[in-house]
Amino acid sequence: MHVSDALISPPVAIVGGLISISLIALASKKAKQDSSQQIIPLMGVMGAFVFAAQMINFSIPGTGSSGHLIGGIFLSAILGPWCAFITLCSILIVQCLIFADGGLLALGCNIFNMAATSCLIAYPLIYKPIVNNSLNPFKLTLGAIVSSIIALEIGAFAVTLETEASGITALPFSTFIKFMIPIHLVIGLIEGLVTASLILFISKRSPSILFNKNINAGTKARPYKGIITVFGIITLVLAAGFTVLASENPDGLEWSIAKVAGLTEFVSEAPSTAIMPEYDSNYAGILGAVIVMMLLWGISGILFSRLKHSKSE
Amino acid sequence: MKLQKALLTLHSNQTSTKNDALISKLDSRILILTTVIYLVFVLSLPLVSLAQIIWFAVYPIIMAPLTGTNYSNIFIKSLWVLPLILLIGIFNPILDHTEAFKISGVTVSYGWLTFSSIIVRGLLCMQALIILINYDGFLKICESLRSFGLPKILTVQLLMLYRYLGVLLEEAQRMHISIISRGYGKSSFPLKMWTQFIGSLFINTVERSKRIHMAMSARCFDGEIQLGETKRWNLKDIYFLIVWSSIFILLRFYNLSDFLFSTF
Repeated sequence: MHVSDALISPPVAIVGGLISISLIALASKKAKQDSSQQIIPLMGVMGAFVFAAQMINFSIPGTGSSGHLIGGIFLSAILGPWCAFITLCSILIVQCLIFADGGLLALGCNIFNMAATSCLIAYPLIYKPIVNNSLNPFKLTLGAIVSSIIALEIGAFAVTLETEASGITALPFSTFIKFMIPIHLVIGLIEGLVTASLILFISKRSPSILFNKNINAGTKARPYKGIITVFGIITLVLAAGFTVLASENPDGLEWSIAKVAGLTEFVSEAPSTAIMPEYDSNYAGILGAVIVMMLLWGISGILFSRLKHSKSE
Repeated sequence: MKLQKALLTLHSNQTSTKNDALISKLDSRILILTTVIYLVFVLSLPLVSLAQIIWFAVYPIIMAPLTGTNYSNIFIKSLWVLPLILLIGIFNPILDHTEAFKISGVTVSYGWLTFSSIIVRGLLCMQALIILINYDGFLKICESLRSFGLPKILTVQLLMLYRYLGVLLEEAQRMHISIISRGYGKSSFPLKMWTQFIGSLFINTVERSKRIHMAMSARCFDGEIQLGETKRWNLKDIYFLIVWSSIFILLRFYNLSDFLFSTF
């Protein structure tokens, strides 16, 4: 779900960046207050662990495909929300700066879409009240599934909003959201199951890790757990509703595909979605720019080989 | 194999040096600033201004040899960003049929024009990022981010993560290979098996963190990793920033294609 630089505009990137910087500043303060020094190496190796775990796939029964852990709720369950947020931010920064995943300007948006939604929204508002420091397998599983789905749905909604606000896609917002919500409902369900299975494994083998007072301090369950649970269920129902709506009224993507297939009677009804239709574009200019850049590329290659040659001598 | 690929990428980042670069003394912060300015200017162009966006390729094409890399390598590396961009951008030619121009009687719609722009700017942004990463390496970028005011706890976390990423990836790879060799070459496992595998890795990870904490405490670790002293910018750094910023402003506000090829 990494948003690329190409899919956002500078104002959206700046807003995303400012929100994420504020959240990082707050999380740094909270993490310092709430946790002991012992947590620093644990955060470091947990970040590396989640990274490694993301590289190992599990098979999804009946689909022939495979998935992997995302890790937001899992990290929060182990480290607490603030430290988990910082850890997930560090993973996203490493993914961006070492593995070129996402983009430098889009980093703020990605931190909000993936780290803030799971660690700072879904974990404290959904997972924590449902699980409430219990080792009950049903509560752990329910908490992990509901919170993962909600985190991913909010993230998917944010991605849609950012892309639409940037004016990049001609896809209407309603169609885009109908496309994103069902996909992320499935991904969220799988992520929830994986997180639950991992937490249950740890709760059996080493339950103290889940209840380390030094680590999980400052993450007490909220008294309004009933309201939050209802909120979670409503969101789930809404998400499921979107899924049904998208499949029953395929007037978005399928309508578009019908147009591509040549069903012109639909095409004539379509509104123009041109971003700047009045712009007088000159293909000669595009061609000229491409030629100049190709020439420059050639010169750059020659320069590089000359430099390499002179170094070897 | 994803694990192996990740390890190779990490290794190439850890061993990358500026020895081959022509501009080896450039301050990392200047390159970060130049990259950010470049990204802002590229992304601020309207999608229909494809020609202007293409002109911005001048930065990665010139910077590649200056930072000791061949542009072709950077171009190939940047291609992997395409799937996500194609997924979002492909709807533009499907939905937008407004005519932009004709080439030998073939109509090119605004949908195709904007789709091409999305691809080009995606590639350019990725290329600028790759140049930054190749030139500086992660540790230098961390130092620069610290001097830009990134909170200490996040800097420490980034350095810890970077340090143990290789260790954990190697450990995961060893375990993965041992399981694959018993599983007739299957690259993914059923959830139950995956949980036991990842769960074991997790327990080992926590044990490792305890050992690290004891070792760090024995060496008087006070929650902070010391980075090098922040250097002052010299004139060359400032010239570099000014020259590139001026080029970006020129490319952003003047359509060179109109100027050079208006009679074409």
